[in-house]
Amino acid sequence: MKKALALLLSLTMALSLTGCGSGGEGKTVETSQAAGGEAADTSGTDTDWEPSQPITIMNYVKAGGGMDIATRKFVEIAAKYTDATFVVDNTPGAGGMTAMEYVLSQPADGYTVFAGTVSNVAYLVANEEDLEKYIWGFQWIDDIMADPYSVMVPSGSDINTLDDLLAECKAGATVWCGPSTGGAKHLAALQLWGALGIENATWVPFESGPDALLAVIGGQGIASVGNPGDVEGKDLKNIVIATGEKLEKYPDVTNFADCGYPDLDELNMWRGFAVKDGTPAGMVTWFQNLVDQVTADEEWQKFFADNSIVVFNKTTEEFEAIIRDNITNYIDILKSLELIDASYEG
Amino acid sequence: MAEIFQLTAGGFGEILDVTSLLLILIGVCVGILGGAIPGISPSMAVALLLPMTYSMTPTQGIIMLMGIYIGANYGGSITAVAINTPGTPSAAVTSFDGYPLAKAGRGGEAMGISLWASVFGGLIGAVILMLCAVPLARIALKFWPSEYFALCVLGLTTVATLGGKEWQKSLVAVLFGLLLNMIGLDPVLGVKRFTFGITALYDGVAMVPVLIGLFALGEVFANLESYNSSEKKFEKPVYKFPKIGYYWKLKWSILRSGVVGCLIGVFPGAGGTIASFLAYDVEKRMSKHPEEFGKGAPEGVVAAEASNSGSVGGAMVPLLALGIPGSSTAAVLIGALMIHNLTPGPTLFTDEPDLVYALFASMFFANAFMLLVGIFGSKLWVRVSDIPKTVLYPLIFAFSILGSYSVKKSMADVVVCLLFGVIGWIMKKYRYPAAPVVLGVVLGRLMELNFSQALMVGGAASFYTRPLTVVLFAISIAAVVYSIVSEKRAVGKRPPETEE
Repeated sequence: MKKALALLLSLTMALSLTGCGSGGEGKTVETSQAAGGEAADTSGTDTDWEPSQPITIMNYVKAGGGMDIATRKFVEIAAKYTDATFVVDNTPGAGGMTAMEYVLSQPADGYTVFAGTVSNVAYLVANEEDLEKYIWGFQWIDDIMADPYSVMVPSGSDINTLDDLLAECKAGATVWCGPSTGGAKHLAALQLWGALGIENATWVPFESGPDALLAVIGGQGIASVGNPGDVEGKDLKNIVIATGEKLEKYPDVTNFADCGYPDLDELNMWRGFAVKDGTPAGMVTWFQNLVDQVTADEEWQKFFADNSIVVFNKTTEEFEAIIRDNITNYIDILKSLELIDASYEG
Repeated sequence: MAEIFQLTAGGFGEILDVTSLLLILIGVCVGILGGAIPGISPSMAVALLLPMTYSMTPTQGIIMLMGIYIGANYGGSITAVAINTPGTPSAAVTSFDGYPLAKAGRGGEAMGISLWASVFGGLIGAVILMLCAVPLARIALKFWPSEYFALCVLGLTTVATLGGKEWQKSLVAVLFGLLLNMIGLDPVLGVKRFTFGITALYDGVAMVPVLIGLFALGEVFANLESYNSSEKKFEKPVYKFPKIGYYWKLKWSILRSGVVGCLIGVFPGAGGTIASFLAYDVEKRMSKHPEEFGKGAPEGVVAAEASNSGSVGGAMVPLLALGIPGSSTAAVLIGALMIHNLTPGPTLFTDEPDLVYALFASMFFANAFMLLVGIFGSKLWVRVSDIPKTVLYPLIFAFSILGSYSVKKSMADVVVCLLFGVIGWIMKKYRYPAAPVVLGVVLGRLMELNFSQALMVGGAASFYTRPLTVVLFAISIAAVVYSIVSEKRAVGKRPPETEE
């Protein structure tokens, strides 16, 4: 009898607690629907939406990752301009798809915002995922920064310029270390190699960007593709940075235009925010206004300038055009290398 | 050397005020609580309190987060010992001997050993970090994929000691663990393997739900099957912690394991879990009574806890000397430094020496506070065995489900946990050890990735031309040969069964 009682009790508790877990979500649905209802009632114009509950910003990277730092800084500075409560959450996994699915599973009321980067697009294309769901199931509302790509080598390397690197690559096979295959940095490298005529280069994928940088410092590869700030505090140097205007912090490092490849200066990693498609227009406007205030903030600008990142606020139309370009580019590259199926269109 | 001590003394001075000490204490308490909750990893615990540091000075923020890191690494052992539910992956090894000890009514002893080993393991890690960060970082740079692969092979040899006499079952279990790594995107080309279109499987089977399922649920199911309502609590439970003289007998085990933990922690990707397995293996091999390992050997608990706490100091080596995080928790610390406009890496020693040495000093304080908090807290935890089983098992079941869900807010992880609960129960029923499965899961992905990377970077020659790789392979071979020879010798010395 007691055996059965124990079993029954355990099942009941498990179900109730799991219920609490998803019930937590369920509860949010109720409150959110109420809030959404309120929002719908009061959002006769696009400007009168105000949050009535905390807004969760869902990161797809682990705490401490680039987007996570940007999100936490955003929340910190946003507190100067709004009383709204933000919760920064991290749900890493499947190149961002786990976090995306979580946001898509929430009501389209604006209380769950996805913090994404170009890496999400690269991952989805490389894995031939359904872009209608994972990209266009969102409204991409604010592109907040461009972190330029750069080519970096160990500080003690004889390679100091892009010409040195090209000479080395022409001399024989080279190994480049970087994060995952099919990731944004790998695709950026493929674009570089294509444009610069580098052949016989192998991309060795590492568990994470920092692991790859450690490998480059240790001499396992000739170079890596990363962001300029990655060299800070490490035994690495940038030899070329993909930026139209030279960065203040690296005045001696050339851009691709200086080397005769101006198109490559367009390569950068964007970071931005998205909400589930169908989110009230009032919320989107409220959030975009807040982003305008944060991006104009001196502290925000200084923080990212110190990290060699260009900040701005590109809203929906411009942002989604950038994403469409990314998709087209990635599909073309991956198809040309037969890394994805020729019939894949997204 | 004198300069280091002088600077460290300055570091102690820097944080010798009420606010700083209170922040370290808060960090330790939060860390212990976080670590004890299955599903909250040390990195999650640190991330949870990261926003609190925005309004603090960089030093205050970092020392509090360091307190959490240290506390969380220990906290995982509490539930591992008390209810066979490792709060963190590295605490899985703690449960091998900690839980049998608690089950035998020696919960106080198990908790005491795990606490003291954690504290002194952590201190050993801190001292090594303080004195040898730069030379150790140079070694980390010499570790190429072929060395990581060889280290994993060395890790696999611990199966020989985990399995004991039933090594065949241990081999089956480790192969099962290795095979589990076939699920998910392959780490080199990103090809989907056995994912069946389920996003939750893209990254493979998550470690925490597997651990909780195998250990906690497996135990609950097995106990439910053999539940006897007339059975009372554990036999004469002893809650009292042993006296200090008892720990002194374990000093060499603590020292060895702390050093092993710190050295393995230096290599990004290796981490506390592998360190725990290797330290456990070393202690079992060095023990005069290896047959007690897995049944409640104090040295087993020491090995697990001293090494995983020692790995904290190790993981800080690449962060401070190279600007690269040595663990996922160290990655959060890097984020915290960056939010405070500080650049992680060797320049910290020149740009912010006060912060660096305050950080070193905080590691000593955090371990001291952990001892105090642990002594009082563990006395409560150990009384878990007082809870009637009809309440305790449902609670473990419920927390297992919640812990699995909270990792990624995914019901798929709950399913994995339940599935592995059943697998754990079946393995227990047929006396297959669960520990090698964990070893296989921990090492499998690392092995596959590093094997491929080694081939891509240096070709097959890298496995036999790189001296460090060859040395590690030689140690692996020696470990296996030693096990076989010593077992044969033992069989030879054993009296014939008929004479018993």
